[in-house]
Amino acid sequence: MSVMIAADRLVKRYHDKRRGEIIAANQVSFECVKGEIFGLLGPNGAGKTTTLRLLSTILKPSGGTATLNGYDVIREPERVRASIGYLSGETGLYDRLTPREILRYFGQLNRFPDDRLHSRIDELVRLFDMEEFSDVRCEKLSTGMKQKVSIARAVVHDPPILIFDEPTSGLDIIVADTLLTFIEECRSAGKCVVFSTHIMSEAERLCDRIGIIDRGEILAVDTLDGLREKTGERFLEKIFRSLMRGNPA
Amino acid sequence: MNLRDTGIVFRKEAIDILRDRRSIIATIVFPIAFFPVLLFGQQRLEEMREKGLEDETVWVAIDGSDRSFRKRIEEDHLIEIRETSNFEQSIRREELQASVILPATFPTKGNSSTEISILYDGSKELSRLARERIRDHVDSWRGELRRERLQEIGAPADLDLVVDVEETNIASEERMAGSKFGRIFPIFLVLILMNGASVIAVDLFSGEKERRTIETLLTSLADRRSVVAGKFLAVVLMAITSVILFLVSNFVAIKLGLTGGAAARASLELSPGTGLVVVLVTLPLAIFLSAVLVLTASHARTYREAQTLLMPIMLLSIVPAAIALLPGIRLDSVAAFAPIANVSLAVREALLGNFPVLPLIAVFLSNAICAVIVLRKAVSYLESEAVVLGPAPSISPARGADRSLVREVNVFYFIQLLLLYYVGSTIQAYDLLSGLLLTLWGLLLIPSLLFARYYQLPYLDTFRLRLPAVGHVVAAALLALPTLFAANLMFHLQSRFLPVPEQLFKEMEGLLDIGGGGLPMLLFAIAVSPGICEELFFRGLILGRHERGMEPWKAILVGGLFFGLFHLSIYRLLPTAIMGIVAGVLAYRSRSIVPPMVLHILYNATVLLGGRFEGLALIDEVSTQTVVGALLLGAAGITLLRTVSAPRAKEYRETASRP
Repeated sequence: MSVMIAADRLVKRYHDKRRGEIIAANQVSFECVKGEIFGLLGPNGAGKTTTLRLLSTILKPSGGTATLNGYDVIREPERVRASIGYLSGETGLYDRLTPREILRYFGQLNRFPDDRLHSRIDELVRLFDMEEFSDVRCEKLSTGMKQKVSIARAVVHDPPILIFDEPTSGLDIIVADTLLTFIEECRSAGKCVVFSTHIMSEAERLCDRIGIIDRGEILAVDTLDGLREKTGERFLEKIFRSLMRGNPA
Repeated sequence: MNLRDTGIVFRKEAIDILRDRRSIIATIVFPIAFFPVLLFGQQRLEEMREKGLEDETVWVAIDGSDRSFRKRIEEDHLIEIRETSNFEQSIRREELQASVILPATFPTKGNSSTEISILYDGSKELSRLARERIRDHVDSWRGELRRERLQEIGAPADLDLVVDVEETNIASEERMAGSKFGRIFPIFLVLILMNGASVIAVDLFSGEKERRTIETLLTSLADRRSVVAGKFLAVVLMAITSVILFLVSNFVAIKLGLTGGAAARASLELSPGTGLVVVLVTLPLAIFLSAVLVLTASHARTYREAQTLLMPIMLLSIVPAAIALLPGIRLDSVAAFAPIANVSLAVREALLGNFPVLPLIAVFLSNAICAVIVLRKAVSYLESEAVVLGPAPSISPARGADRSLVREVNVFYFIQLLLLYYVGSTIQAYDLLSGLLLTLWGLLLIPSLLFARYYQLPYLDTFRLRLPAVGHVVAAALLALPTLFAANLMFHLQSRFLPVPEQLFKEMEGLLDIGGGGLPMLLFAIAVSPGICEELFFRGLILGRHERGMEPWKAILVGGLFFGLFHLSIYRLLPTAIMGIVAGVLAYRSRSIVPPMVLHILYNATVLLGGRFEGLALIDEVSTQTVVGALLLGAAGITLLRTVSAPRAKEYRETASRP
């Protein structure tokens, strides 16, 4: 199994005027292989977003490093970016552009070959059922339609690694289900997916392995069954609470 | 930077802008409509007002029995005569617009004269109109009386015309109009430019954050410089477009006669050639101001925050444009380097049909340099994580404790420089002595203390507030005259290549001749105050921060040049820098601010007293005595400085080199 993501003791420190120094990610280490969905599970403010931003080179680590698709996030950020598709639940779109224009823009920026870009966009439009609105400006689209565009935007350059940061936040059940189904399809297609959520049911449904994160630290990394065995609890909420007790503030 | 990525980002932004109604209004509709509508509206309003007043009947009371004058008034159908017992009260209550008090008897014969009083309220338009009409009647009646008298004595009608004046204005109608037009036009130009560029900058930079598209953009393969460049190009293009549209719209409106007054008569001067010069000098300004707007907008997380941040910047940028148009300010060698103001002046010159090549090049270059500096800052900010995380000032525990703050202190210095140019010069123009004191203590020292406070810098260490060794003070005193001699020598040497204009000598003499308070006050204003305030700022704050960020000798050199530049004269730059460098060495070696203060005070005092006492003026002369004297004193000062300060300097270097 080829390792696609290897986080090696990632650290991110911030300084906050009121709270002083904050360690948003503290010695975060985990690995993720091809064709695997790795779930990063934790409450709000646990450090999920920071970890995913470090992996996607939006932030620079204060310590440690990570390699994605064999490229180092510090030394080769461009190559890392070429290997990933990033999507956050909060991601917005350019309201005055149409879905096709947005896909074209990000396809070009991600150096997808020009001669294949048009057919790739057509393929995504069909895949996400966007035929009816692919030439309508985004400002006129519903939340569900927009999320489809966002997903298509993240994968337009067909990257081997997908990083999804709470991608279902704010979505209704139907659209969320479409997204989760797509993530499952990505796994089948051999992509490596890192997926953060605080919704336990999503993690139970999707994740091959789960990393439990709290206050910037990874408390445990294992399969769901492994975590159950380790904590003696069945449900993820209980597993999470059990691990948190072992990591008092 | 990748040009392909820049092109992709630029193309996308251009499409985005052209689909945004707000952007179109700000950058296309507003510049086209602004001036014609303004002038057209103003002209029509004036016409309406004048027309309305022309037909307005005014109420006037007359006190006096002279029938002939009363008859004249009565025949004027626009004046209605009313009766009242209290003229002033009636005018105040607007029951009357004016009243005329005639003398008891009128001098009809001989050379006696009399007086007619007109009572009116100058604050009211109708009352002023009534006064005008009465005066017209008085003037015509007086003319008749004079003619009658001259006829009586058989003299010619123009007997009393002893001296007649004939004035000829050599300026063409167009030039006169250009002169008036030029006073307001550059302000509108900056306004149009800022308005157009700010809307785009906010949308492209703050909007990217508010829409939460920034992360997707930053995780794309495009490098951040290319992204910034593409967006920045779009901002500049729209800024330039709005300026060009503004000019074209004025040109067309004037040609079509849509506008009246001064603008209409300026039609010939606002030729395509003038327009081209205006666009050329405005181009770097557009780049500079766009960079300022981009830098500011990229700090904001929302549209609203960006607008709040940009409003004061927009207002501030109009101030230099307006100040430059005050009477007496010309596009000279100093003004040509003052950003924004110089464009304002260049545009005014262009409207007058003047195209001074060298100053225009200076205008172009100074704005282009400012643009590059600000743009670099914008790129470095957009490359930082603060773009995503929000403006976190630093990761260090205290804002400035472990940082050199070289960049911050440099920005602060340039702000001080602008303050000195725009505010300091203005207040000194009103009153040199008090303006000088206000500039030094109020504009220079207090902000320096506030800067240190903001960055939580310890005052004693930052401003070198330590007692010096006696030897250092003596060394400073010994070095004062040799330093002045060296500065004068530099002044003489450079004058061979850079002839000093007579004006500068006059200004310098003016500075030394200012009165008000006698010699002690002069010494305080010209020697002591600069010695204290400038030393705390330059050798305390600036040199101190630079020492932490670079080699000491570089810090001293840079500090000296900063000091020279601060005197806002190309002719004084190097001589003053010499003084700054010597003061820097003293500060560095002694670790105290006192020796450079002593040097500065003695230096300035000698210059001041040199103008008053013959003996001290000798320092201006290059002779064997002065050279030998300067060398001896200099050698003594340097020896003393080296001997006394060596151990302390070594100890300090270790502290200063800490990151």
